[in-house]
Amino acid sequence: MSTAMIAFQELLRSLTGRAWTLAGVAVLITALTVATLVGVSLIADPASPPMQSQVYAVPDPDLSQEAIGQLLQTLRADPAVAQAGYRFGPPPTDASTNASTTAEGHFALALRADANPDAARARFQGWGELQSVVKPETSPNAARVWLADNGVVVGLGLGMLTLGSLLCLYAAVREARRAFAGPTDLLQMAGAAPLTLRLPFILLGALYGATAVIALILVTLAGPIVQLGSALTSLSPTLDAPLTTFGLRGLVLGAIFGLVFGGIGALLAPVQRYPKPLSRSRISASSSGVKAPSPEAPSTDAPSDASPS
Amino acid sequence: MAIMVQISELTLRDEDRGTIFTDLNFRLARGEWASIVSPDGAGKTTLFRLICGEIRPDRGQILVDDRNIIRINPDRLRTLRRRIGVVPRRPPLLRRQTLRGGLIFLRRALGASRSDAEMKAHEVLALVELQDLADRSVDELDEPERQRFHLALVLSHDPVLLLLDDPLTALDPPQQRRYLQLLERIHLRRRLSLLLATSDVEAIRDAPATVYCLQDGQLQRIVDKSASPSTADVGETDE
Repeated sequence: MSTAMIAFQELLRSLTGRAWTLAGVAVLITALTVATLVGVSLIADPASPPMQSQVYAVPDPDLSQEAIGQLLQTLRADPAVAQAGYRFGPPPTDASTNASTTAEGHFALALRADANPDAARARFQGWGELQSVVKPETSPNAARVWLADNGVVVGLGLGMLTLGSLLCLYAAVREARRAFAGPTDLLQMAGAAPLTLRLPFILLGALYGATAVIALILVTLAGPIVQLGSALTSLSPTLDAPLTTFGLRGLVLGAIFGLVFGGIGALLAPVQRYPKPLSRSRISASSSGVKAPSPEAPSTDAPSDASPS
Repeated sequence: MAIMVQISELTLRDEDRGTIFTDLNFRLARGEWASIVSPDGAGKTTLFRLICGEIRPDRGQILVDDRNIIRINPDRLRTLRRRIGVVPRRPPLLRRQTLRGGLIFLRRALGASRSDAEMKAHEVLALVELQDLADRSVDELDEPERQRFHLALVLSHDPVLLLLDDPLTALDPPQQRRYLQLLERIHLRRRLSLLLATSDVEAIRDAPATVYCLQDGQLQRIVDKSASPSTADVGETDE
């Protein structure tokens, strides 16, 4: 095991309750920041089609699973449909629409950009196998318009959130540095390499960033997956894989956060800075008049110790 | 005679404190024990930092273990630091760690294998007579034990030069005597060059060390115990 990893283990072991608390706060705020940034990026994604092209179709409750499967294939083959998927639970719909709340599941349909949404809805409504065809609960167009209208506020909010997360991490790493001050000083005095001192803090920062993203993904997958899936479905351009998109973007953003956090850790790592060696000319100037070392003492100009001057 | 530390015409000025050293000369032979006595603030810690290469003098030369500290590059200086054991005035704290664990960590973090680190931990704990407390937490040690543990930490990376910055201040006279007796045994067994700074001249009266007084930026020898062959040639250091 490398010396830096041994120091990293010792760093984790040295963390005090206060350091762990600050780390927890940093991780939570980072998870919130990543989730918000990814959510906003999904809404603001220019590739996202207008919301009118998305509809939910509730199948007749008497249909068998086999019939539902066949109906899904038929919908996918429809020229007006770009993508289709089946989701369990009732569709998230406008209060104005009269969708059944007892539906066991629904089809989520993304219509082609050139399809007329109203005509397609009317046509699907006429299918006997479908109980109702409704619009999504919210309109990402409206969300996108709101984003565009309040870009400065949203940008400032995101900036503040990101800054808050960075400040929390700074405080957490600083506390870790304080908790690890004793071993660090010992290593410094024993001439440990700078990497042995820096790498533990880089890894600590990266660990906090990674933990935030893993926590975010676990919460997404474990708890409110249905609600989040529904919310993302109503916002995401891709009906089939909104969670995948969310997760992937979260991972990328988390990796960036981890790198930035690692960088902060590296900057905060307390590494002894020794003065640069003096050049020969400066030594001559500074030591003019200094008696030469005694014959017992070896030459001071051994090339092995001389820095390039 | 082999020289461990040679300081020639060292001059250091500080903006706040004015002149700290003026043409200071000093020589410490290999295996020699010297003590520097001065009141607090005279520059003992600064002298140690100069010897360790942490700060540069305005003028003069410093040789440590055949290396010119002023010309050495930082990487080689770090390597040299492994051969210099420093016990600072306020030794760093190893919290929530056992004595054995702390020693093993330090040794392994410097590149040793686990088995080597365990052997070394056992060896140095025995050397400082703390082997019975090997599995005790550092937080539970009293002051004399903590001082000995820091000595063990420093000895664990096999230094050839030991710099002790006022280790006796926190100890009462009997504890000081025991600490110095321990140092004497370590000095004899390991043949280390040893430089001990203190503000308490009484404390080191019985130590087998040549005693220098740091005053007005210069070192003056006040007690010569250079009877042993290894320390026979230190006369030049007097001003």
